[in-house]
Amino acid sequence: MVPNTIGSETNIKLPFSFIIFSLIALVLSQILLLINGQMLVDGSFRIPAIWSAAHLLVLGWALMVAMGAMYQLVPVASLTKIWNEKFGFVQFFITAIGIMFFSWMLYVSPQNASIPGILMLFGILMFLFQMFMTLRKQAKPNILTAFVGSALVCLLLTIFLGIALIYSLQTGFAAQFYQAIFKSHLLMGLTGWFTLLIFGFSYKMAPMFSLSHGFPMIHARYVYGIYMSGLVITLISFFSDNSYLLKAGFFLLFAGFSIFTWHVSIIINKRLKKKLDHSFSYALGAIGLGNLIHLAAFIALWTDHFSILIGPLVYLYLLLWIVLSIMGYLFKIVPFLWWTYKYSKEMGKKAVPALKDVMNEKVVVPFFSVFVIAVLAVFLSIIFKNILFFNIGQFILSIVFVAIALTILGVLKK
Amino acid sequence: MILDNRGLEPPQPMIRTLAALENLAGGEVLTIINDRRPMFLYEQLEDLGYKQRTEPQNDGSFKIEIFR
Repeated sequence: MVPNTIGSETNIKLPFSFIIFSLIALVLSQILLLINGQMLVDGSFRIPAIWSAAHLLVLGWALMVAMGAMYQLVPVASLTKIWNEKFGFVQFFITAIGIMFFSWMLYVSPQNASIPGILMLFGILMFLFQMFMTLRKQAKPNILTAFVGSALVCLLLTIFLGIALIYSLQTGFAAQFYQAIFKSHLLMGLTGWFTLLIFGFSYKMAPMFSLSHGFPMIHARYVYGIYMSGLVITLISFFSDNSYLLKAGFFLLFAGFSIFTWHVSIIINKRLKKKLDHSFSYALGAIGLGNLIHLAAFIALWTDHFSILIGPLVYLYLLLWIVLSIMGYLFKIVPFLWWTYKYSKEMGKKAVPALKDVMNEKVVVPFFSVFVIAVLAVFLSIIFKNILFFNIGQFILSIVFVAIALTILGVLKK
Repeated sequence: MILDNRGLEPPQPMIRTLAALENLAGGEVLTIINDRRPMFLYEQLEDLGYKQRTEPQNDGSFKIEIFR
């Protein structure tokens, strides 16, 4: 009998497979960027190497981490078992092979990328099916189910919008909506899928890492209602090309995010744990940054520079909100998972390393600080079109990414 | 003292356990029963200077004995 597979616990190997794969994809994506740095200097951003690196980062790293984390956290948060663990492993292999093959194809022969793309799509759909079957079993749905469920719906929409983009490019189908579809693809992928997912999980992880209890949960409903209406109205504005609707949508997104920030600060103020871990503090800081970026995007709408600013703001949103949140939580979750996997059965029987010896917390502040500074440098360099600045920032960023990934992977040697 | 934390949503099991430890007399053992292996509790116990012994139960839950 393997103790890890009974009860509502997930077999730790499943989330770990996703996380290890994701870290390798992260390293590969940065190596690709570093090797092709010269092309970036020349100002050619839309080249196969960049497509490949971007998809390795967003799909290979962020999406795979999110999937791995969900295999671990959904059973904890919803008190149900994963619907089918074996199916989970099959899903992992199909998605992993699909993403690797897809990114490689983008690099060597982009016009043929849709073949491995279908494999990747199949893997993601298997994941959605797995989550749907798991959440369906939940005895008592709560606000978290709403966040995670809606995030999954947004992921599905992102995929279909992405397919529509490729199809439109190849056949000219719905060409007049190409821009609207592209914007919607970004909206659903970044503010829909990732933000809703991080909102939902933060409601579990923030109290867990700060030992907080006795806080009100009513705010979460307003966050959900207002943010969701912001998503829907913004989406409609893209297709109707209505600037008032766009402003209203952006305002609602900002308002919903602000209530979330306020709510998390209430939760953190009710904590028992006096000193928060550094990595978790950065994940909390990412919430503040995400909130600021929403505000900046809303303000930019009223200026003449929106079309110049929105691209860099999307970049900032991806790196300083989504990536920083995920990084912060990863630093916390991976040592726990590994330590539990390796030592929890031996505890009390023989001496085992202390949990705090498994991960070097000292590297967190320098790594994450440099990360934030490098991202800001890249952001400013894109706005001011300074290629030298861009290259220095991106180079440092890639190095930090690789260092962070290797540090987390290093835990597995302990 | 025995604390049954099954069926509770995190972080309730952890909060209940830490509260119970505050009222634990010296030399006494606190036994808790959880749905899952309490990964995050171990770190807190270590900080507070407690030792623990975890045993998987036949129904899939875990019994954890906490002592000095």
